[in-house]
Amino acid sequence: MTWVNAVVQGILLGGLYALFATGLSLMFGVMRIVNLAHGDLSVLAAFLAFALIDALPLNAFATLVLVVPAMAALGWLLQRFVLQRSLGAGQLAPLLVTFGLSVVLQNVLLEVFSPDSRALDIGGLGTAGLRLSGSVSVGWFGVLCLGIAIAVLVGLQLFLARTAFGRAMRATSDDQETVQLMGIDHRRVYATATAIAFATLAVAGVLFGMRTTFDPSIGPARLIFAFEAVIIGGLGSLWGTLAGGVVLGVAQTVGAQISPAYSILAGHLVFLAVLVLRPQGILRPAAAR
Amino acid sequence: MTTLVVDGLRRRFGPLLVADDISFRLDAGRALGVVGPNGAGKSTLLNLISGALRPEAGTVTLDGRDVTARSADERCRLGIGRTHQVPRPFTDLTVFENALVAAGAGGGLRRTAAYRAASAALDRTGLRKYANERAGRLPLLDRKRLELARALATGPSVLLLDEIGGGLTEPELRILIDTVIGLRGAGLAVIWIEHIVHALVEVVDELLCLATGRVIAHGEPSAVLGSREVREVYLGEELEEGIAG
Repeated sequence: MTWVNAVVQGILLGGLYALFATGLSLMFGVMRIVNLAHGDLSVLAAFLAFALIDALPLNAFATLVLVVPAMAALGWLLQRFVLQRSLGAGQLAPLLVTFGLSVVLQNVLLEVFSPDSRALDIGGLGTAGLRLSGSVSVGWFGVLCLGIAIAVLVGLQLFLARTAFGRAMRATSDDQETVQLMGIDHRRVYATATAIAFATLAVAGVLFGMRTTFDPSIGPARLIFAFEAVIIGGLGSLWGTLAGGVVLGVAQTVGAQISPAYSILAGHLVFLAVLVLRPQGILRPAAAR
Repeated sequence: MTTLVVDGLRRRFGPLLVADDISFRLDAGRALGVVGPNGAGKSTLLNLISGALRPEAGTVTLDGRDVTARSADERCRLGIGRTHQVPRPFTDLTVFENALVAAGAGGGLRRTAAYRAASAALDRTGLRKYANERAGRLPLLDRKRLELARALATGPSVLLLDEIGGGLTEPELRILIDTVIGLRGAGLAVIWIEHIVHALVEVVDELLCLATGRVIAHGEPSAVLGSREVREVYLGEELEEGIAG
């Protein structure tokens, strides 16, 4: 039964990974930008929440109301005034810009918040759960994370499939030159896509901060998880990202069941296995594209 | 009434002059055919008008408004619709969604109005039966139709057609000719680049012949096709027979 428990915990953890990876997947899908600062930006969101709790009489969850719009605005401005300029200069330029942003963010956070590990306090919710049997229990916080992840992914999927702006976003992702002949300002679509990506990574960053401790240098380690979730699931597919997050989460918790030291390693091994056996991702048909 | 005025357009690709002082005026309800050998700068001319390319000199004016500094998407919303010579559908979207994107963004329409415009554009181009197919699965000819459908869905007052007739069978061409005549009759200003000159002369009010970026003849179709300069340019690249007469 401890194995069943490991799988259940892995699925719950996978929800958080999927939520975290969504922004990376979206930015790559729409703009073909690989955002190397993705992990650091999620840490920035967690520190913003931390500072808000410090300054205001706010509950950790309530900080989302301020942190998410702030990060979305940051994403919009970053795309409009920084990344957009780099897009015309070849594939390497936006990669270097986000890499530079990653370095800058880590150092600014270090300067402002010191290298100490922090955590966002959520009281008893962090440990409360439902015991299903002797060894299988479900933590409420994990269920909440998975629920938020599914809600965000379903919402995003509906937005892309059903709304005019979502259709414009899919068309822009397909061919950014031709959409201009359809009257679409691709720069506006890009800025909005980045804002959405930053909003989702802000939610994930704050939830990560509630789950475990964070410090200014942890971003790149997290980025790897987002990459793995996106690649395991298949690039450019939102459902794939959810599946990829869950697979990664389960791999890590099952690995930890064997030995705590194997947790991260097991995730990497599954990732490598997918790259070798199914490089298009587990949810993408081989013939696609 | 819509009037497109192109004045002194000039553009270079490296050392190559691809548009050299091109000027003309086109009123609503009129159709202009553009002919010329390969590499004459025909598609470049449409790109300069649609905004995909910026000229080094010269202006594009729509209804008295100088749009030269406007981006391609703004020009589309102002009423300039363009089709690509090589179709570029949004492959992951359905045929209907392709037209819907155009109607929503380019035509500025919402919900029901956008749906109507998109479905009218599909009806007009005979694509209704493929409405829910992914555009990436369409064969070439239907992709060309989709180019036209999308341009129409943006609700243009000026329509730029880039060799949409190539590869059509004679009956298909007949339908296309009637469609374009209908559009012109509905008050659109049409610019049509086409190698199939007999189709062109059935539709257009005037003909413009380009060679190495320059206008070498412009006017009545029969006069243009009969002119010595045009004959010389086409030397070795035989014009279709029986068109001048």
